[in-house]
Amino acid sequence: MLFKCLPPGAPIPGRFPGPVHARGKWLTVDIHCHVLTPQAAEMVAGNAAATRHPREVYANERTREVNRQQAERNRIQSTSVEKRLEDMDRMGIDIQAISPSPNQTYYSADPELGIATARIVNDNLAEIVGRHPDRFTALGTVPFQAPDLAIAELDRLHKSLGFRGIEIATNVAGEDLSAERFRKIFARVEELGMLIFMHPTGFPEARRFADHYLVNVIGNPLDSTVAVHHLIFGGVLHAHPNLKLVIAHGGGYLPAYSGRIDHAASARPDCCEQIHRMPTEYLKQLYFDTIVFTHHQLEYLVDQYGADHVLMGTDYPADMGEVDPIGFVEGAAGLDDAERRAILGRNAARLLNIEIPAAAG
Amino acid sequence: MLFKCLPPGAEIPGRFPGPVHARGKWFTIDIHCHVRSDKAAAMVEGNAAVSHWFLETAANEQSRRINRENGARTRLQGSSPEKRIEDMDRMGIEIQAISPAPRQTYYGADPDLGREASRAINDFIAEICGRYPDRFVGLGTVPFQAPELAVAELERLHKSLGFRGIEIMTHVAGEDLSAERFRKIFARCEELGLVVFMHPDGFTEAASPITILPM
Repeated sequence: MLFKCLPPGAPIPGRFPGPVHARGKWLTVDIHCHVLTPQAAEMVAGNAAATRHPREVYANERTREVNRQQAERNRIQSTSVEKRLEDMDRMGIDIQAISPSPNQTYYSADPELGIATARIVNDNLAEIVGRHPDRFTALGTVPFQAPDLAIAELDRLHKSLGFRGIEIATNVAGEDLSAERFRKIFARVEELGMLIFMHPTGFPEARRFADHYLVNVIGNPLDSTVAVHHLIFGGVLHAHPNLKLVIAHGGGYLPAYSGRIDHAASARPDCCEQIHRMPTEYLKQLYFDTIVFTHHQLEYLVDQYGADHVLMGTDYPADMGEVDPIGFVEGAAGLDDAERRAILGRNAARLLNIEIPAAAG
Repeated sequence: MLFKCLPPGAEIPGRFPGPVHARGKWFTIDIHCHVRSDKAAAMVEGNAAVSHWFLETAANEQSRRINRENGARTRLQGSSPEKRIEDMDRMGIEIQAISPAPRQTYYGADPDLGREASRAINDFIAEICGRYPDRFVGLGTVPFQAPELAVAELERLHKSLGFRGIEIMTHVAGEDLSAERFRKIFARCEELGLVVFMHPDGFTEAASPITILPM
């Protein structure tokens, strides 16, 4: 139903927590959910460069107002571990792989501020995991804008904090991820066997996206689409075939329209300079979350990319999330239980090195 | 196969005309195919506002060079109906619904030039359809940047030229199609029962040339 047609006082569909699912039927791991670190937000307050987000820049006044209301409504869910556990219990989520709120990657901060905020964000995630190690695992953040500092923080995450992966944005303050200077970060992530969860932060040049919240509705999957194209055509996925790269929101638009890249690579010399195989072969190295909202799209991802390449996610606590992730996967008639089991938790457990409890479904 | 792996002199896959299919098995209509009007191109030559083209401005130098080569290579296919019919016969296409090369919608032109260029293109399409009425049907263009003129040209397409539809771009020189001033054009298309074929012309916000560094 359209939001504006809801009767007064009606529960708003799509808001967390979603419907009740008992834990225990499946081992469930949420690969896509965010934590806000207020201390890091305070460190960048008033810093125009570090706080410039497309989501705010390219939004009309109505959208800004809605965003402000959302932020206020979500604040407890974004920051309180107890509230988060309560919601997870209700929704049937065993483990959340928590990642920073996407705006908190702060890639446009100067290097010193970038490393300082990354450390604060990561320490906050580590504290949450430390308090409830059976319910949380962390995907940290590293200052991509300063590759040497990023690698140092990567090593700290891995060795000292026990993180299994990082979240990255779809561009680094406008610079594409295929840039040569980022290669050493990808190389180190691959070496450490860490997972990368790629999450967009709106579209960087979104002049036409200011109305109807298009900066997120289209801009998010579109910037993931652009980023994946650069990683493929720029040779990053060729150089690092063992990267465990998970793309948010079902991988953006490319998985559904992948034939065009292979056509381009066979039709034009400027579409195959850095690659050695057909582009879709690199695409098949990637993993996608389940935030696609329709069963036909979920089944298409499984059919094309394999049940072992799709991971359950919620986008908790955002309003563009999937509040009934278990019901969504259970309700996909084209999947069998082995596929559902893989998608709901086993894939994430494998990629994140989470021990599967003996009693797990 | 990757383009760079093709042996020298090999046929390049994906270039027209494609493989042979006999006509007759299916009744076939191609809804997406373009013609290029040399006359209209000459009318806008050197006009910076009109020649702004995102597929060019957002491309690196190598892509631009390849685009120029492609433009030269496909020139005959773009403008000669006889060559076009030869390719259609080979590929098993009965009818092409021909639309302008996307760039030739010229929404960035001032209203008068927009109207004149539209008329030149539409007359060119009408001429092709008139010469081979059993093989072509026309999707014209109207100057969206000037809605009154667009509606007038829409009437002419419908009444005088017998076109069954128009091609439109995905934006009007950067202005979105939902703008109030374009409503009357859509209303008239709906009223006349014309097909609207929407085709992009690159992406407006693809600002910076893409530079992929060597490995």
